[in-house]
Amino acid sequence: MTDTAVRDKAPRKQAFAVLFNRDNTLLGVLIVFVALVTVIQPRFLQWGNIVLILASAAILGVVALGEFLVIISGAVDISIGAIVAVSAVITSVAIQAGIPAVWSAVIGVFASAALGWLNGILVAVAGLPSVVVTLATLGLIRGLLSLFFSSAPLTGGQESFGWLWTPRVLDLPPAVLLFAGLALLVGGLLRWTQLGRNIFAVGSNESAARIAGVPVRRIRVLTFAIAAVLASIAGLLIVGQQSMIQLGQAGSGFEFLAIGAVVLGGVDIFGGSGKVRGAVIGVLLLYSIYNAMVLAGIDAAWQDAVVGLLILVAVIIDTNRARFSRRSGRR
Amino acid sequence: MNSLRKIPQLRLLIIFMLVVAVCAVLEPVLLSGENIQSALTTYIVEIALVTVGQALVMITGGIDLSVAGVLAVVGICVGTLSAAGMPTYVLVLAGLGIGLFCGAFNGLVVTRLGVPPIMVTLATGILFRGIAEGLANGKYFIEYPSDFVQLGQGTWWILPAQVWIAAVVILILGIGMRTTRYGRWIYATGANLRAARLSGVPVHAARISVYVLSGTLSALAAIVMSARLNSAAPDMGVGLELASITAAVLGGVSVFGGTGSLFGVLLGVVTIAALRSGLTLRDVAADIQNIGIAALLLIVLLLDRAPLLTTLRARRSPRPEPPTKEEHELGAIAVADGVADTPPLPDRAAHP
Repeated sequence: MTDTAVRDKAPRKQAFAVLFNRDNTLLGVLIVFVALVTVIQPRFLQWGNIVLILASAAILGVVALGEFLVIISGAVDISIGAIVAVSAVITSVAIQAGIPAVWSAVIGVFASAALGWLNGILVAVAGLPSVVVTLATLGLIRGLLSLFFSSAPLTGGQESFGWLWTPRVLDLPPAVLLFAGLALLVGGLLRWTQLGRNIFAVGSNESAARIAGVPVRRIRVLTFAIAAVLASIAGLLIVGQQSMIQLGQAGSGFEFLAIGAVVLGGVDIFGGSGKVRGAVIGVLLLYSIYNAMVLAGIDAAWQDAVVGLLILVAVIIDTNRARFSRRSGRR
Repeated sequence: MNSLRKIPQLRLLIIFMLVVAVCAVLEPVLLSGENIQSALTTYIVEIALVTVGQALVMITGGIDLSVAGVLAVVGICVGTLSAAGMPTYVLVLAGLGIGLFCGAFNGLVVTRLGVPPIMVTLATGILFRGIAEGLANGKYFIEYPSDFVQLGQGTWWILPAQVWIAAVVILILGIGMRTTRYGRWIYATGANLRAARLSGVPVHAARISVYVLSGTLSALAAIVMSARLNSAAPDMGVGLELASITAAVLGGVSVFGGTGSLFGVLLGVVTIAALRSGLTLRDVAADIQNIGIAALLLIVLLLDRAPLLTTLRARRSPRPEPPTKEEHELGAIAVADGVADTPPLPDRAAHP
């Protein structure tokens, strides 16, 4: 949308418009932030630390990619953290039952995809608001998980999926490469496929999209299902990462963190615009901040406050930048 | 039949009675005075206070994801002041003041800076809870003056103290919403922000006021909760933002704003409480109870769109097909959040 501002012939305001361009602002913030922290604590920019940040960002990153797609389509998925837990739990239960790891993963992914599909059906066919639907399915899924898989912490998946976290190329674990690959895939999907175009269309103006012949319902269902598949992959990453945890609790709080990261990345919460780059940078920024705070010796207790403040500042700047460039684009 | 349908929340009322009936048959203890009293204190009062605030915000077309954060930060501040030996009235006033301030902050960012409510309160929710965590720094608070504790454990006449507090507050708000001009402003703002502004409703003030009310009500809930538990920890009230939205939606508040009544909201809270209480008596764990509540929410929502009712209506008075909720969604949210105040951007759809 800032393109209009740039194209307009207000040369003095052009510089501003470029500066206030959504992607540039965010990238600028990331660069300034990294520079500042590096000056204070040179260890921040060491490769080892960067790998650490990337590795810690990978799980939420994959989830955020799915949430990003749903938000682009003009909806929101609050149940996404619970869907992460579904694939984590079901996969490790299947492994414990003696099913080969690959098939266990397939079962886990399909279970999650089915739930995403259910979300999509309830939103698209029953016509209920996505916030409310996914709020309900969140309770439903978490409840069912603790009903059937409560008690003992589930183990056993670590041997099968631990390889995802052993450093390979340039010390990067495959999990990070997977995140990068999925980000490229989602970016390609949005940019080059008809499905991607349709997701933007539905998010931008649903009625117009329907009238223009976009199969709105199918697109909605597909978006939720794809988001669930991405969430399930994050679930597999969690299975590989930890050996002794209550997997049923996996992904709790992810719903808000993922939305927060996507919003931090400058994606329009009402859908129809946004770039994968933004979502990825949003996630990386979030974890860079966590990491920097640890390095800077900020009390762990204050970390959430800093992150909340940062997201708040980001959304305020982002909203008002949009207003500014709108005005300069018009005059 | 015709007049029956005019009763608001008739469907929920029937469901509520069904839930109570089934639970009471299975567990007669449900309706004992003792159980009702414990349900009132543990499941109803605090959630009702928060949900009423949430509902007011939702009626204006917004949403408040920071209620649980406000509750935590107020709880911790009150605990800190209490540990410093402050008297009860200072604790209560300070707590309410902090809640009011948090709400005003939300409201100002939403109206003056034009940031969508869901984004503002998502961020401030994390921020407020973060502040609570920072202030508490791993500690929790268990020292309160005895008359403060009475607010959550005492009995005034025949009912627990907090029931009186909540009843008075909610009654005033409920009557206010129905009879005063302020109440109509709130509904008008949520129904159509632009139209409301053009017809002279002070929409900014109306929107700020609901966030202030929501913050203050969450603060009141925090005070009651600290007094009831005689403790405060930074994780108090986790998940209350979603629980309050659930109860409000169940009670007939639309997430698109403009509709809903506090009577319905209370009915929503009480229905959930009855279900929780009944399931607790059957020894069902708290997170498994969520299945029942989620199912209830989905059933009520789907009943609202049930084909049976649609055909009944259609038979009586043929009318044009209303726009579906999906068609309504983007427009309604955009208007409610002031996005549609400025003309739409030309190349919004042509994004890569």
